[in-house]
Amino acid sequence: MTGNDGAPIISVRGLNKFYGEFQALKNISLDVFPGGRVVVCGPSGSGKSTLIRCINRLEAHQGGEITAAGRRVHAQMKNIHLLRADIGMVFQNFNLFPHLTVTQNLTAGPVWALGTPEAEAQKTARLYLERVKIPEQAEKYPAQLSGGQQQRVALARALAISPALLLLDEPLSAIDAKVRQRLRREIKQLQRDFGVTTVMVTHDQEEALTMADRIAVINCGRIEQIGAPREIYDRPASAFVADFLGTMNFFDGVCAVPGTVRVGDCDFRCSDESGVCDGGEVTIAFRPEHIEWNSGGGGGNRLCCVAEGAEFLGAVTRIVLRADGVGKTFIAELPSALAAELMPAEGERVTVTAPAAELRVFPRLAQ
Amino acid sequence: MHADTVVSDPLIQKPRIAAAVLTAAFAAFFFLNFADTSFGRMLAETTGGGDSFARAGAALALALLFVGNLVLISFFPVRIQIIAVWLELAALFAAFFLVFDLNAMFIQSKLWFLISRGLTTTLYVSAAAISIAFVIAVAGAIAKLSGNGFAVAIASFYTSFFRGLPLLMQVYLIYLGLPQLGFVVGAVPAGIAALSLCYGAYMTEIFRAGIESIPKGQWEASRAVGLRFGAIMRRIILPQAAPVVIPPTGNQFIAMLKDSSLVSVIGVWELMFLSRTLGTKTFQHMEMLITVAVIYWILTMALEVVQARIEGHYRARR
Ligand SMILES: Nc1ncnc2c1ncn2[C@@H]1O[C@H](COP(=O)(O)OP(=O)(O)OP(=O)(O)O)[C@@H](O)[C@H]1O
Ligand SMILES: [Mg+2]
Repeated sequence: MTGNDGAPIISVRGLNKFYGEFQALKNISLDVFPGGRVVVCGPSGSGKSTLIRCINRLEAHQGGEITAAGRRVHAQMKNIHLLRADIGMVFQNFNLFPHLTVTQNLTAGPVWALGTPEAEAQKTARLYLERVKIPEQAEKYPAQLSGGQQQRVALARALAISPALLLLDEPLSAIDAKVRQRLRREIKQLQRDFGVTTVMVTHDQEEALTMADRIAVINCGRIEQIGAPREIYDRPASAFVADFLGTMNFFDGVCAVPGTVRVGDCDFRCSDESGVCDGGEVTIAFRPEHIEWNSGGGGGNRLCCVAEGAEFLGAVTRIVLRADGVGKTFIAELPSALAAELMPAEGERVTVTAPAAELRVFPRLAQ
Repeated sequence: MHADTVVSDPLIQKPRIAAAVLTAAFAAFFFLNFADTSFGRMLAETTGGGDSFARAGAALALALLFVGNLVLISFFPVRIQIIAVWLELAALFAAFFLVFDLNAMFIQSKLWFLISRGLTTTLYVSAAAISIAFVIAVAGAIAKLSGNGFAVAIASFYTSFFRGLPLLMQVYLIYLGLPQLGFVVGAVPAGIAALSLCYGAYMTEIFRAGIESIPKGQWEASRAVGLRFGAIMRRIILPQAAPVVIPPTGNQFIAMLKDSSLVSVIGVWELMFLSRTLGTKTFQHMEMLITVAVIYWILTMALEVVQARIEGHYRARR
């Protein structure tokens, strides 16, 4: 279903976008295949919204090629409304029609754009309202709904035009954590049931990891990495990506001998997969959950540390450690059940291991 | 305005405020000097006081009456308050008209003609002009916002010209000027044309502001579901602009209703024309003027009610 076979339904090639002098998108290339669930994530202001708004040409781009649902998207294109009627969109701030009831919001596209008979459109609308679990709100106006309900209307409105493609701009941002989790599952279910291809924007890393079959990490208008969630999490292409998705410990060091990085007084051995490590200033990185506490393991980097504190996060516990000779604290995470046994008291000395295989090495970022 | 959820007593029920208002009213009535009215003279006779005594007494009595009335009304619910004050003000105005000592028989004899001929003409001219002005305004507003050079230029020239000339002059220009170009127009069509062109220009600006007040997101959302320009305008933008546009448009309607009197100068037999001609023979100008004034006023009130109804209809959605 998510295989990269066949032609992409969205293809973006070398996209550039300017707002006046300011370049919001720089040489973006992205393919989305039918049935795919691509998540575009990145920090605020990185150009996520701009990117998906270019796809149905709510924004004009200045360079590069965009093809969506079999049509080339450009300034002179004829019948842009036909393309847009094929692309459902959920806006970051909903943009519901305030003068129309919830049902009318859903039927607006089908009836007034596609000429679907009123009765049929209403039936479809009811169906989608049931799918997003707000059938009882059908006759209300948007202003009479809660934020979460408005969100669901926005989603249902996008689905009600039976799109081949769904663009979701932070569709869950206005919703509390609990409902958000449920809606994530519902959206995934909808994607599965209706087989819509989705491009979703988020700045929430958890959302990105759970919703995507492919993630595009974007920073300052540039795509830093595209890949499956696991791939991005395990093998981030840059320090930025590593930091943005998941938690990461960073140490600045110098690579004097190939395969070894010196941080302060400590030497860290890297593996072949760690990344380029053959000289110069680098940053090494490792995830908190990769720290091993039974310090006997071979091939690891043993670190003698002082425990400085702990945070209980529910399922996991986060422990702040200061490594001798490195002069910097880092974070280790372990399951809370385990932490209850191993937990060092504050100020206690412990020895842990950072496995060489889990170490990542990146060129040092200019600071 | 959005009222707070905390209520306080009406100001006028506070003794200090009431006393202050009483003092101010007394001063005002004393200054206006009611000693010479029948009430003042009666006061002077019965008490045997002098002229200045009558002046002060009359002022005090009126001030007490005034403040007492305010305090009394302030105890009633808002609806009753509004109705009571309206009735009182209307009574004062009626009293003012009675001063002219109007001939009721004469008014009665002409009233039917005023209504059957004058009122219908006024209504007919205004309704036609307003409908045309409405169409012009929508077109003008869209043209102004279109970004098309020709459309913007024509629309802005049009609004500039017709807002820039006195309406009376436009009436003459159209009625007397068009025949020079070979188009002979009747007085009524000429009047309707002048009114609709002039008010179309004002309303263009109102509609433009109304359309511009709709956030960009509404355009984007309607485009995103596949709507095209016409449908977006008709289904999304104009309905949302309506509540913004209706109060100033209602104002224009009311203003136009009365400005339709300007077409009397080219001999259209509407209310104003008749009010000036009917009384001439018997020198009963005042009768006709006041009758027509009341008719205009009643028409305006009817429009105000309609406007309030429409506004209420839109308010229900928020
Ligand atoms: N209409 C505009 N005019 C000028 N600059 C704009 C405009 N819209 C966006 N930008 C700029 O383009 C950049 C990208 O904006 P965009 O809305 O795509 O960010 P985003 O990644 O969606 O951020 P967020 O997560 O906060 O929604 C920002 O720096 C923003 O200031
Ligand atoms: Mg955004």
